[in-house]
Amino acid sequence: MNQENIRNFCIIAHIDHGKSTLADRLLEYTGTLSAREMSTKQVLDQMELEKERGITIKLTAVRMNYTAPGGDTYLLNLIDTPGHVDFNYEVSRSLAACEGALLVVDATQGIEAQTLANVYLALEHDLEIIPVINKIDLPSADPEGVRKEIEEVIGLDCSEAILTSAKDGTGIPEVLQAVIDRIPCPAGDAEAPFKALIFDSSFDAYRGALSYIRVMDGGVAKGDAIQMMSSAKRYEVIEAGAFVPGLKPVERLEAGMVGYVAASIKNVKETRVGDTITDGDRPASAPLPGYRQATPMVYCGLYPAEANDYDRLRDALDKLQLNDAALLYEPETSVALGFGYRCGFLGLLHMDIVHERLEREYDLALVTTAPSVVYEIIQTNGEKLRIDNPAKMPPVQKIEEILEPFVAASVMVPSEYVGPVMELCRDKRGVFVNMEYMTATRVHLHYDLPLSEIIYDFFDELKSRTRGYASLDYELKEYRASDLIKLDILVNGDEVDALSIIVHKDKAQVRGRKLVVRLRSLIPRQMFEVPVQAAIGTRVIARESVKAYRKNVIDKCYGGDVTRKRKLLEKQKEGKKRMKMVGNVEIPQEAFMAVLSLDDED
Amino acid sequence: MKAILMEWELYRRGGASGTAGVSGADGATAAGGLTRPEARWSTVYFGGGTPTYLDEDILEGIIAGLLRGAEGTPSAPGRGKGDDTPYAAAAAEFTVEANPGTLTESKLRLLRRAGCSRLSLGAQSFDDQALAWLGRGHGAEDFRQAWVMARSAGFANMNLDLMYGLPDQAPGHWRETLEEALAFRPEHISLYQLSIEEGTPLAGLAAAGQKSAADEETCRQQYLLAHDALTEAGYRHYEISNYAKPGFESRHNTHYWRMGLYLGLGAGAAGHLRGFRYTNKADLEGYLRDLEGGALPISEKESVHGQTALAEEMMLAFRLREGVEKAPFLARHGVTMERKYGETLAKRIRAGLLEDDGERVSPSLEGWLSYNSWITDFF
Repeated sequence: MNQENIRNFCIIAHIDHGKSTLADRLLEYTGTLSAREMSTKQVLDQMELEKERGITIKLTAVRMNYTAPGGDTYLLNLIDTPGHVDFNYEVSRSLAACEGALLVVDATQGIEAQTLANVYLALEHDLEIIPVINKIDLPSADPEGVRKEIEEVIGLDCSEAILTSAKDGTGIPEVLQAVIDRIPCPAGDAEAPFKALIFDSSFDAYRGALSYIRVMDGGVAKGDAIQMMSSAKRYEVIEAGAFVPGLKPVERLEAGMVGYVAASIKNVKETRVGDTITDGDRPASAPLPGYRQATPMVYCGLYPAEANDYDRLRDALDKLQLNDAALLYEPETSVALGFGYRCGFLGLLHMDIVHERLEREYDLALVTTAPSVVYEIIQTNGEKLRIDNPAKMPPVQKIEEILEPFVAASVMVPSEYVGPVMELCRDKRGVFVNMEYMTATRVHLHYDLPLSEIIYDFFDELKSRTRGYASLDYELKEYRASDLIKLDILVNGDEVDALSIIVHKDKAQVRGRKLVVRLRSLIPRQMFEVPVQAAIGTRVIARESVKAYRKNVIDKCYGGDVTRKRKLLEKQKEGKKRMKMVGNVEIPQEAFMAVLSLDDED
Repeated sequence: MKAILMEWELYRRGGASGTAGVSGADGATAAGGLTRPEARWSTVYFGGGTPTYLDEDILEGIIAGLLRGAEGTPSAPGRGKGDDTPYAAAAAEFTVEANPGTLTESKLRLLRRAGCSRLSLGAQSFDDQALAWLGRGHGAEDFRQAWVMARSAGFANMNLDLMYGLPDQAPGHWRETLEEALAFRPEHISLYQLSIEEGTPLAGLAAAGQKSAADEETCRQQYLLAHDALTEAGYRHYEISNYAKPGFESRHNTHYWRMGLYLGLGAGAAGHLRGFRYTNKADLEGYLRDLEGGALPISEKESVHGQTALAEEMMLAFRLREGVEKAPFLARHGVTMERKYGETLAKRIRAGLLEDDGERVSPSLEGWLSYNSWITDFF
């Protein structure tokens, strides 16, 4: 196919603004999938977790063959993008494989903080942006207001914005027409040596590591010799294919096309995302610009609940990392938890998802510690330390200064909620930067906030104080000195390293007290009384005790009760597996995350 | 009545003349089919709900029908050839569960005539207010009358159910309850702790009346007080929640705790045949439908062997004062208890929850008090 008839695009949208539904309609309208095939939720969100949560985590691509009303046939590649701030990194990967983007905005909601951030990313990549105002079928839709908002806030010309209702199919042909008319076709050199950008990879048990590629120049087919430009390693292509959706072998992938190649690559690490693949015999002279390395913002410890699952955990992390370059991990040892891994994540959602996938897909029972950011410690001897685990903090007398990451946060919110949002930001040690009125009723607030406060419970608080109307976006800004201290937790007199947290001095007292109260309720009664203490250095600032375990409901057990009783006890035992023995005390998994839910009971 | 007898017929025919009562089939075996000819039954327990609610003719019909199956059983205890007592005491122990409000003199006579040797009466409490709150259909006076009536009808082996952990009781109240119970001179006392299960009518009442079961420290004290008072009065605390005068331990229930096999008949009843446990359908309609179609009305069946069987064996054995005898354990499982459980066992012994006298490992009183928290170590 001629490159002039190829369009590669993605969709930028806020969660719930209808991206997946719009994608489904496009697939349906182009006949890529029948309505029957579409019947089960969104096609692009393939991962079980994605379906459950209604979000996109991994980007997915799909190829559509479309015959325009004029009779010309086109090859349209839609490359999906995740909407959550944690996955901005993945967004930039999809953008690099496209020439254009549909900017989908909910006609009842207007622009949200993350949409804005993603649009700016797309503009940086010189993408053609087509505004699409969706959900116009809803009674509260205000397409004109939203059109104005897009023009004023982003500065995009919206005179040709397309009004759609992905739900009832309104505007779908117009969207396809705009994709063809307005998004530039790829401009690769079909005669030049093969050159493609790896925008994603996955592992297939039969075909080995698959490289998801956007062909820039030349072409590739089965039997071709290829090489990775970063390593100069050579492979032979055993299959080239497209996403139809699902993987389907094709004769040849040519300049401008999106697809995958399999080349008996054993390890996904050899198909590094962002790398350039080129012709094995006739290599391109220079690689394509790669991606910036995703930087984990949040770290936590992951430990197998059963010590002998350590190797299985490593294998599972290895496999997950194949598809998730943003996931970092290295071995770590905790006095309390034994051998495990310190893992770095893009954010809390990312962490949550990795945790859940490990448990579900790899059948691991895990104990996770509370997430932490990376702190910079300037020691008295002038040395600088970076620590991602509170337990690694040097003793107080060796610390000159502690710096913590601050983010530039932007919050978009209806004006009536400005008060509560400012109050929340103040509570979270935020520093006001400025405030703009986007429209008469919508405000864009800018704050500098400590990242540690954001991972704590900021987002939930923001949602609850604004009834869900606020949207948040943030990016790392700089490290700033803060008055921080390490708060230790002692259970039965023993310091539990995995429970240590770093907090602001002004909050230490309150948080320490809440934490021990919470732990008291989480640690099951043991055969003896267990004191739980919070301490700063050697000074105990709060103490509670878990009373000795005495009672069991002593129930009857006759002929009809045996099976039920055994099953009940088995279930109880299963729960116990999640506990870690620290000294003589059994500490349940929830206890290690307790610090995250301290404000629940207020 | 018809249904239970039909179910009984099915088991009987399924395996020739092997017989069992409502439950309690000693040595009943199930090999492919159900019972084997040499099987015989030794105890019967008629309970689960309150059979004494039934009208006399139905009650009589059921017992007659069940015991008829015992005829011709070569070694049915207490039933010699040519015995023409209507139903005869075919079982060594034949218990009927009764609620005080439902007994009449003629029902009691009928039960005696039918061979019933043991009566279990639920007193729960002697406090009318507490009884009303528990939703019991009887008052303390009803219980007294029923008890006396049963004694005069000739019941010489009687159990009295008591409940502790009731809400709002004055400190001395439990001691008085125990004293009142002892005054009836029961041969056997079952002690149950009140637990308010979510979704039950009691839970609704408890929430409405803002009542809750006694706190755990109170329950612990009441359990210990009962142990002292009843032991003092000559009872053996032979199972975690049962006391008996020597020789009056419930044979039927001990059979359960020793992993014995038994047949359960009736909607919702559970049974244990060789290699598996089953539970009958609890909804009466489904239960009846199956029987009318000539099928056993079983809703769930679980094979019990290996680890599961061992878990059940330990779970049940440690409810008994005798606990686990080491030699038979070795004989049954081909491994000593010490080797099988190692540090788990040693740890619980060091903590004083279990006692090892060389011959057997048995639970201590403290062990019983925290039974649920350590028993799963043996799973």
